Amino acid sequence: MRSILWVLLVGCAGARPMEMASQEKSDAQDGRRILSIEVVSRYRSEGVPWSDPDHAAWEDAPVTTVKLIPQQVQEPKLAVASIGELRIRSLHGQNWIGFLLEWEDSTFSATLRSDRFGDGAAVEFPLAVEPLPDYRMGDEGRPVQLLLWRAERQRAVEEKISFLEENYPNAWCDGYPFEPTAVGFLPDPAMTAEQKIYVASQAAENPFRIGVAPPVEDLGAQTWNELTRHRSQDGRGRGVWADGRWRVAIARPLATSDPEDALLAGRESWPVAFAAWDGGRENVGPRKMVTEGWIRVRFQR
Amino acid sequence: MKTHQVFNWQINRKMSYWYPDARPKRQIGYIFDINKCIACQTCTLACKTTWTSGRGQEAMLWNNVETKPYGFYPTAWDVRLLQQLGGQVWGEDEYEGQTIFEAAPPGERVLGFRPEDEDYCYPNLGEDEVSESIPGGAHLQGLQTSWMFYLARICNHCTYPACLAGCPRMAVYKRREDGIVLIDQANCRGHRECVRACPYKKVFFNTATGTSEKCIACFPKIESGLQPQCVTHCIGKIRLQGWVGTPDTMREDNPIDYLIHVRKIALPLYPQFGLEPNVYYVPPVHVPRKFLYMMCGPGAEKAIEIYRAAKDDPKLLGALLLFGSTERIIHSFQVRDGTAYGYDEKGAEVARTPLKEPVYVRPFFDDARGVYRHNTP
Repeated sequence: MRSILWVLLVGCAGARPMEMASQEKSDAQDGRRILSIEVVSRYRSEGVPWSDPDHAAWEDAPVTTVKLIPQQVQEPKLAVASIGELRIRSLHGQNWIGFLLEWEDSTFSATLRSDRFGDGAAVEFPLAVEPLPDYRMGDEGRPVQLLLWRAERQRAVEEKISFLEENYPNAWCDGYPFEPTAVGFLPDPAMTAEQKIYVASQAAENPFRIGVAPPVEDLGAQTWNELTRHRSQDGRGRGVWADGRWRVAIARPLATSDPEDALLAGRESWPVAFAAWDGGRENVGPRKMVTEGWIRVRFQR
Repeated sequence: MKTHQVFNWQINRKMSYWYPDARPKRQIGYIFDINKCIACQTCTLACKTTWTSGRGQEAMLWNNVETKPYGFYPTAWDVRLLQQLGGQVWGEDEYEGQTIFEAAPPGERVLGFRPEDEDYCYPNLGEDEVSESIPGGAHLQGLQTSWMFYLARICNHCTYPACLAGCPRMAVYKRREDGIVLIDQANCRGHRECVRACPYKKVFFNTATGTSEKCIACFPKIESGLQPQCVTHCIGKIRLQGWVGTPDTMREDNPIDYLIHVRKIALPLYPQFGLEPNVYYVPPVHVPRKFLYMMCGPGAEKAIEIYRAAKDDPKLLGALLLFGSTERIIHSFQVRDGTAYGYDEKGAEVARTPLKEPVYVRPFFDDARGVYRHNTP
């Protein structure tokens, strides 16, 4: 029965919902436009300091300020943008390119509870420019690559934070029967095996679950609703919050062997778009702020 | 927002929904006889110990029993949405008000709200509280004016699930083979749009994993022909799980269909929300009709009338007595010669229960043991 249960619980993971609604982007032309502003990526022979948003090298890169607007194409939409603009810098080396995103956010949101959400930011690239996909999650047959950074995931991975203990410091549970070290339960290999069944997201190997998902995820999309995780995770990054301000570095190799990644090596310029989430205002998923279109990043040699 | 028109038989009209109509091959359905529930919470524990004893599931009750009118889990889950939805008018033949899909504000897929974390902290809030204050010196003098009842709740495995409509990642799905609504645990990203959208608040966020979780209708049991844990562990035998049809596809020999479609004594919970929920309730007979009208729609009065006469109605009584009579799923039933029989999908007998239990009157004094006995009818 145990093995049957495992198969059943995990087996359901691959199924798809009922036929999806056909959601059309009525303003498709707007979604493919390239704004007249540019981000200049400065060359740095020492590479991209993606793990240190406060590194002095970032200050050498020119700043481009980009307006953010609430995502109002696909339900659920965001009514109001609480982050008005992003300040963007970019550095690239021989092999990597990185972006430093800065924005004002008076609330540090990097925990999870049923009613608490984390801050976040994303960088997006089209895989091809002829034709250019819609910057709002791509188009069918015209995919985009997304590098998504999330504050709570960074804390969970870097600091090994337990959001349960953080949010419920005085909570007590007699024991969790499917955990090998549970208080009041003797270690039992059979129980340990069952834990994998009954913690369903773990059994299904959900790559987004807390403590497993990296701070920066490498994702792909070809339309709304269909966000896929790249088999090869090529994104890196780290964020620092201080004095009501986020500084988040997000980086990736200029070229990878992953056909799902945009090829940036050897380019003069390439379109890029950005998004941000204000967890303190319950921004999550499509409830986000986005740039008004594609922005060209120009590689300075 | 581009939506689809689907037919919801519970409100007897077409309504808008995020996805096109796609009814499963068969639909899981339940009937709970509220009149028999004593809030012992055995169902709650049966579910809890089977599925939600893990880290992050401490305050998660896929099954709960709350006291109405003042009990809620999570706090104010239904009254808050009823207030948001505004007037809910039933016409002669159909529901004339808006469903939560039709009343979705601009930018939203569904009218809803996400409870605060604290709302999950008091699952027994309002337990055993009655509808009004009892004045000092009051005592039983016939008909009581104050009332309460116990409402046992699980996921309704709705025909038009709001959780499924609300998920922007398409991680919620409804199984074609049995209509069970599940969250794809490999793809859930924990956005909690399902928590916000479900009007019954039967989707929960797991803080330890960062994903949302819900009642899975004990699908490993269902696939083995067995009724779920909350049904089979109910000591009051208030529950029956089986397959529910529509008015067009129902079978009179299916006890679930018979009670819902033929006799119409089991009614959906808040059908005006528009989800076509598949847990049906025999409404409590002592509760003011206005309250039941709000909770179950216009059929409550008639349902109670028929239910009250069940003792003289062998087929109806037989169907009701099959509740809790077997762990197997009953596909069809018969009542003959004072006995109700339940059969599985292949026609094999899986339940047999007399309409009247034999009565034994024992002598007041037991000579063999030297003790006095009471006979309790």
